[in-house]
Amino acid sequence: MDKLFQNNISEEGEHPPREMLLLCVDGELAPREAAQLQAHLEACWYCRVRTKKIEEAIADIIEFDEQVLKPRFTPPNGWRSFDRQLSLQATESGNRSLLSKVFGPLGRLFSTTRFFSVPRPLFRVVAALLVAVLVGAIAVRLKREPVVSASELLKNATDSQAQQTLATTEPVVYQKLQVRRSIAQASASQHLMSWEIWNDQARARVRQSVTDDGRRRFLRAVAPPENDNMEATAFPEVLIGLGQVLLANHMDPQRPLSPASYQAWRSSLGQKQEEVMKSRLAGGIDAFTLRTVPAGPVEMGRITEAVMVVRARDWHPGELRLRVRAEGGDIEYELTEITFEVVSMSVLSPEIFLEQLEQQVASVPVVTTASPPPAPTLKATRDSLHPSSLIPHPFVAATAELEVEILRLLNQAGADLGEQVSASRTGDGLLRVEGIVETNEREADILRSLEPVINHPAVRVEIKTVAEAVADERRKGNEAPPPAKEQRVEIQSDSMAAESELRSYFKSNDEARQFAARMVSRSQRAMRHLYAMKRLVNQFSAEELHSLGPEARAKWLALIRSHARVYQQEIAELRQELRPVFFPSTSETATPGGPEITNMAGVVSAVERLFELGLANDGVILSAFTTSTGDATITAIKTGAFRQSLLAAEALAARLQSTP
Amino acid sequence: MLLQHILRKATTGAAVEVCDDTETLRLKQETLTLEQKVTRYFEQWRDPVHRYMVAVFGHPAEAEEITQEAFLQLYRSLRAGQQISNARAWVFRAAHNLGVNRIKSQQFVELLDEDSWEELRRSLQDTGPNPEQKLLQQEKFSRLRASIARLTPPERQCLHLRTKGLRYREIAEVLDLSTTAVAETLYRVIDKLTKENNG
Repeated sequence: MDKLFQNNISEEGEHPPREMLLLCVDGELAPREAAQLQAHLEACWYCRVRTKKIEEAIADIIEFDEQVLKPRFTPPNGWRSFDRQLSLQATESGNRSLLSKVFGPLGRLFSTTRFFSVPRPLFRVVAALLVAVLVGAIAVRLKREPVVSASELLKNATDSQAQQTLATTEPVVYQKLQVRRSIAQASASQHLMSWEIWNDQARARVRQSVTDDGRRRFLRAVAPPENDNMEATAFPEVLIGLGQVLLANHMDPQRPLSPASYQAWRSSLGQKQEEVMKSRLAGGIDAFTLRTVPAGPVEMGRITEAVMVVRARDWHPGELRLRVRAEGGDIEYELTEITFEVVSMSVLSPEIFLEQLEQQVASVPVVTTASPPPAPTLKATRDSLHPSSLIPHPFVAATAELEVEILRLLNQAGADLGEQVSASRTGDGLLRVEGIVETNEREADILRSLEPVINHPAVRVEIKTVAEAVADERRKGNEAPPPAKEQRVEIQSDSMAAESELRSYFKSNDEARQFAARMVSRSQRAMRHLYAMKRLVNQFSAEELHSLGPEARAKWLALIRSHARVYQQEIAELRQELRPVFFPSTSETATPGGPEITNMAGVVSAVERLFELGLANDGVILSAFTTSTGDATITAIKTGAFRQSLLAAEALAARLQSTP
Repeated sequence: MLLQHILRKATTGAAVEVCDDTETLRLKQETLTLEQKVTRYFEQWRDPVHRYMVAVFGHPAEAEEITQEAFLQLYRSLRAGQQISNARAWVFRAAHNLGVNRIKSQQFVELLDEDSWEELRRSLQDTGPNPEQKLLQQEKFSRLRASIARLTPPERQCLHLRTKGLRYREIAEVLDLSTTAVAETLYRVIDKLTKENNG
């Protein structure tokens, strides 16, 4: 280790690897190595600059975290239930101290001041109680200071939305809402889903979809589900319940989160209590919160409390919370806006408002007051109504199936073996294929291979040559990076760990060196396929893999199998070549490849195991045929354990190829 | 391999202090009730844990619930007599595992929605020192946002845990990885961000 360290940093023109610089910056190096590296840094301008770049990257991340994320990632509910839950648990345990039983919430309020650790606690608690009540009253007073009346707030919000729709020809209002329903008497009973609504204002048409358990379904607009028929059961039960509540309370089921809908309910009430408070939306955005509570007794199915939060800057409603009286306890609905857009019908596909019987589109009812949508035309065939054409940009979202297809195309172009080309889905529903390649020819190759998907509305392809990438950086004012001079893996005959074994077998140094280089290169070629398999596994969550369609699943498995096949061949040949030099007298015995692989989870776990195994084997090869790292690794390549490990990797790779 | 070797030596070195959990030590010395200790710990660490959960799993409201649940689990475990030497890593790990089980959508998490991003851009325009610097800062943040969005889930997890001040060994404990894997992942993150953002 020390030898390696010295080799890396003390010889003229050689530098420690960047990994070591990061460890040094992070204070994770052992003191001796940190001191050696520090000495090198003092002497080497080049490494000082590289270290500074790492530190600058860290500074940028921290700046981004502090200025961008921290102010916006605030808890939406202000930690309001923690104290209650902790008290509940403490009570259940029967361990609460007398002090915390009497002054529980107050004690916690003052816990940061070490209040309870000082003498004469009772006296101080009483004093603190008085101060807290006073401060709390002032805070509540300030917080609840009315800034605008309820009517003004709703009028401003209505006007603001009207202006937006007036500014657009043939406006279609698109809203994506997160719907959460909780039942007060059953804290565990919560339901969360995403609900999208396209509202064609000019023609009074509505299209809706829900995403539940990661699957998006389009809903058909038909009569309200008054009977418990089969269609009604297919519709999300949460939205059926919400729709009934909205209708029963004179609200608009197609624009539930709108000032007009809130106003319609509010106008239907007799006596009511209302307040408007300054507040904040998620992300720290200034807002006003309107709370309305009907006076007197409330019938079953009626709203007992409604809260609407609107953005202060443009009066746009962002949240609606409804508490509804129901048998067995109140039900709370929480609607949070995720996206809102007003777009012209001209940019949308007309099919969006057509009902169809496509497999992905559930035939389910939705409570609706709109006129019936136009009858399906003959042109609305399966092909034209495929989800990819149904919802045009910007609403189209890339699917896992599309991602698999792109990975398959990249594999055909040989662009999945360590080249700087990646495909990933982004939070905005797009699938980005990005990469930097060596030459224009290679760029053209990859673009040609992506032709089948390049015009898909959810796909964005950006492949650049190195020259183009450097030119782009220069345009942005960034200097091109200095040529890499890092020494990571080099074959040096004079310091190779397995040198004595090679010399005793080969006639000349040249032969030994060539052999070593061939082994390292073969191991690295094999590793490229193993990394490609690992990326294929990491690219998708277990749920996504589980829910892949049969075609996409077959493609994904074919990719895994093809990489496993090449990996197995390379490792088998590597073992055959090593055998006469390092383990000549051993006989070959078959190694079991582990349990049979019967499902996607099994494939994932087999790839993970193979990756661990392959990484360790590659480490032994690199250690033996590159710079000496000590006696332990010299013997590792000669051991039966290493040979068994190679055989096990081969067997596991073979097992992966036989996956059904 | 090289990294594994260096790190093996580093993390086994007696002089390397990777557990920087002074708050736990301080709490031990005080005569607070368990409820008060957990409350104090909650006040100190709830925001970093919540920010980590939102950055990695999205769903701010659910992240808030999970964060609270993680601290309640801490309370229950301590009450049951479990010895917890590093409460910070313990809570992060509990929250992370709850997130994995409940949210299950860590693959593609948008750091900020478009509205918040637009809001941020406007606020930068209002507050920056001069027009050129404002523009540069906006560009830098846009690039970082895009780069972080492109990281794999383990890379994002390691990055966000590191920004919350966790040492490599603690991150390894939270994510159930080896310290070497954490070091390699963090190196990859820094490498990607450096290449993508500084050229």
